[in-house]
Amino acid sequence: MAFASLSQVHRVRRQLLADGVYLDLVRVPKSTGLPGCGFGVRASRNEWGHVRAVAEAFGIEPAGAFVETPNGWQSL
Amino acid sequence: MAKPVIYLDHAATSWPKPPAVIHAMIAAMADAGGNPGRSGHALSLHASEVIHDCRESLAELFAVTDPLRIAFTANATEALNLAIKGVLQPGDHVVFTSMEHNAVWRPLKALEARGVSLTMVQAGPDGIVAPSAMAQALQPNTKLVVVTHASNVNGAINDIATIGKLVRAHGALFLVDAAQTAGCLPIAVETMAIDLLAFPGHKGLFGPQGTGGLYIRPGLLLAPLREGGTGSLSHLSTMPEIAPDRYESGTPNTPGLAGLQAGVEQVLTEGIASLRARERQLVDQLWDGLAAFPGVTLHGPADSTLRTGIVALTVAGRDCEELAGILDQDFSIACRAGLSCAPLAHATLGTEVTGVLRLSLGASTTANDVEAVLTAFRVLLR
Repeated sequence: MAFASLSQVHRVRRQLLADGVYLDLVRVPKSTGLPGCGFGVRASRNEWGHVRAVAEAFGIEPAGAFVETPNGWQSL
Repeated sequence: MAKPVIYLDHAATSWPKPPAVIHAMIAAMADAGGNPGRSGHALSLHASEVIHDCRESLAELFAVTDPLRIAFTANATEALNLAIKGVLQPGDHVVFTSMEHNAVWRPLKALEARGVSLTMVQAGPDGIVAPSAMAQALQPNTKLVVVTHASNVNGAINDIATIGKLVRAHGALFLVDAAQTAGCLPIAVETMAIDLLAFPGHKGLFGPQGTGGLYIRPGLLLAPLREGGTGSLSHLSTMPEIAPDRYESGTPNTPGLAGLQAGVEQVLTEGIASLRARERQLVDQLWDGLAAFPGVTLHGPADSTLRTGIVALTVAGRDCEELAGILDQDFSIACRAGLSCAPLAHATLGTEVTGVLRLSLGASTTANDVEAVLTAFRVLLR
């Protein structure tokens, strides 16, 4: 799940860590059409809801959700 | 071998810095050398985490809920300029005190020439402004109220919590200049109704010079001081609205912020109450000792609960700058003399012609340092 700024990624990621969930910080290529900073957290489908809830609690709107395929990152 | 310096100029910048600050800066240079928020490689990401750590530590210190509301600047002056110029428009009215530093006074005068109206509230002869006087100066179009938490000339502390409540009730924004108090006095932005808090990194927070910041209350959108690359929303021709990116264009001072983070952690570990209690004990020792000399006039509240670690004085028949020079050359005592970039404050205290000799204590000051100053004065004034 990607965000508009790297600071937002860190903010969300730190809270997830405090919640006991460690998620890798990942670069999402701009070729996906991502309008943000090009960074996000790597989350399983089960974790998306938690990530979105943490972000929205901070007033942060995720820039988009992407999935890594054999052909590269694709927007969901 | 040169005599060890007795450093009593902490109001200008704290020194020496804690070893942890220096080590953190070296580590940042060695291990986090990428450009934060730009590239995607490990060095760049590490650098961005170093900066985020600093934001989180500052948020804890100032009781800020959202660390992203802290924007880094080069110093408190830049933070004050960002707040003042980012808020005020022609036709707005601003209230400030007669104890403000030139970092407030000069931006306000520049804006006055562009149609912003100013009201200066006179502080008392001790340098403290009455909250009721601030309230009386508010007008229907008052957009901003600017108050120094403590004077850089004589250390007089203002009651910002009471003033903040009055300003918020009126509907104006409250900007606090914490240049002399960040890391030295308790500050909680939300309970003190502070909308904008400008602070330096290199004084009470023990960070390196070239660091500082501005807390911006959630919901406030300021005009940025500069435009440029942020590493985010790069396809836009305008600055993004998200904080802190909107206010931080250009490559940040990663080594400096690594040092600042270590400094803030030191403050958090030692505790402001403990640092303040120790400082008050020493400043009382210095104040009482100097007060005993004939011809010495101390400027500021006699009660040290109303003062920071500054002792400002004049000596009858002696030039302050000459005294500072002798203290430096003959006694290795580093202090400051003159107007300290605050002519309004000197006019308030009645020292606009003479200036003052300013001795400012800090975390590294010892009782022996204070005794050395008193010994020097015995020699100087005999």
